[in-house]
Amino acid sequence: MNQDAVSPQPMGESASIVLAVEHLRKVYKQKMGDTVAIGDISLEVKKDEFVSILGPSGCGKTTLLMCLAGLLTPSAGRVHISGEVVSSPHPDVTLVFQDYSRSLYPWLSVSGNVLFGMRQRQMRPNEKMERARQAIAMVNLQGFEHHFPWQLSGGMQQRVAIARALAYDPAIILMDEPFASVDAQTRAGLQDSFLEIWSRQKKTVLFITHDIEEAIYLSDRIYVISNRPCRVIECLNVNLDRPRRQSITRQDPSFIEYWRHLFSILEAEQAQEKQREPLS
Amino acid sequence: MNRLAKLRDFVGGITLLMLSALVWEVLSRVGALDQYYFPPVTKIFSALIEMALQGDLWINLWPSIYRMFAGFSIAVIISLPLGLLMGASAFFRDLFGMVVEFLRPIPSVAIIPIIILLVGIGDSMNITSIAYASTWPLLINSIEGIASVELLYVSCARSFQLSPARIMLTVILPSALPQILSGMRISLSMALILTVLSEMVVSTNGLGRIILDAQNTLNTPAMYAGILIVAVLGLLINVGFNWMADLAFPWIERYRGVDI
Repeated sequence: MNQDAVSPQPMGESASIVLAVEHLRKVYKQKMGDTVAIGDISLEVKKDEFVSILGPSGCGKTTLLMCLAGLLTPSAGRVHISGEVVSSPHPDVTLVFQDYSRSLYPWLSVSGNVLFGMRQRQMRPNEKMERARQAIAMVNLQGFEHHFPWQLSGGMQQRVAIARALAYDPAIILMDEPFASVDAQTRAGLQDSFLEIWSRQKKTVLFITHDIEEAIYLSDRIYVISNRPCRVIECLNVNLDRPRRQSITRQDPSFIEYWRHLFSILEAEQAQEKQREPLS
Repeated sequence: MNRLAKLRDFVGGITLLMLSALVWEVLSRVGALDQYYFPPVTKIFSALIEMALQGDLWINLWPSIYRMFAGFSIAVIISLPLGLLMGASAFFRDLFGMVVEFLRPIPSVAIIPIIILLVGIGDSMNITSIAYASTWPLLINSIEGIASVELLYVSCARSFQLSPARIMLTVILPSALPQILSGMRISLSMALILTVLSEMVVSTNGLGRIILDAQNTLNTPAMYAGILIVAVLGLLINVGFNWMADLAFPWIERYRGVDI
């Protein structure tokens, strides 16, 4: 692996940065004492880039995403989206959650859910219908428009959530372990179909995962973050050819090299965490 | 549940009911059961048919149905908005919470004397008692349903730029609907109970009156006939309510138990 790929700040230019996080800190005030969920995180995502945040389970990744989405107020630091400081949900951003069963509305059909995302968009109803139809076609759910989400399999439900995000047509899609709740086979399929859509639609994606292989397979760049209170340990550029193929990309020697490198970082982080435990 | 299973359950239920009636009939006819306390089923039915033909049934059935639905409607008009308000706002929940917790455990029957004092004797007394009793289940369930909304539902709607009022209407309300509807179901049965009960306390007509009058005149078949009418009425109301709820909100099916 070449050295500049693992240097902490490989991104030089700042012209096309659509999402920037500056010294973000999040503390949950509790009766039992404060919990520092996010220690100090700074990161940047360029336009049309696919960036992953890779970190151990329970390290505060979801908290970070909620702050980026404007759903949580950071204790310190700032989030910029399209040059504006985020204080409430930004219209250029949408989320895809891990838990599709709690983010899709069970009282709405598949098209109802997809249309729901566009409620506040200033468009004619026909236009919305057409866009919903296209989004549903993109995730290959034609014929299921009038089903309820809970009548579909987990993988199909997550595709509905993706279709809803696509129909909303944001510049930035934030994804919180979206493929973590489905089986391995379905996950590989979802990864490929999402990459395919991403390459055609040209969206900026910030993707949260704890799965090293998933992060490498999908991303242009990976931020590795530590255990709670989380901070960035490393920023890694992934120079693998696109379009990526499950059977080819995963066998690529550099894929394996990236994996080894990331695994050793996370392993060291877990070992440190273990040492810290007896003290706390 | 599929249609075949539904039909099977229905046929099974009916068969069991008929068998019980048959056993009752035989035991009563052979004298194993005292005919005065347990008249044969056929006698109960002939009393019922007589009531229907003479018109006694109808002049007593309609007032009961009227009172019941009037009382229930008042309960819905009061408890649904109040429940939504208390569910959505901690301020109102704390403000009214004590009052609700104080009033709710008092058996509605114990309130009837106060109601008689306040509104006098007549339909308004029955309706007030029914409204009072059937307010609580719906109120409590509405508060619970609204307050326990899935937070991710709300976060998701906020990320799509919906205003709080919109979120209330398009997300929180539908998500609470299954619980609001089960509250209504319990309120409806409370309404039926209080209809019969309040008519037994004070009334010149109604199903409660039929039962009590028949008992006072030692006409046990007519008494049982009256009870049978109440049972059938309760059953029809419940079936009708579920049917309408399923028709209006087909997704409610999701919240029914799954047969294994």
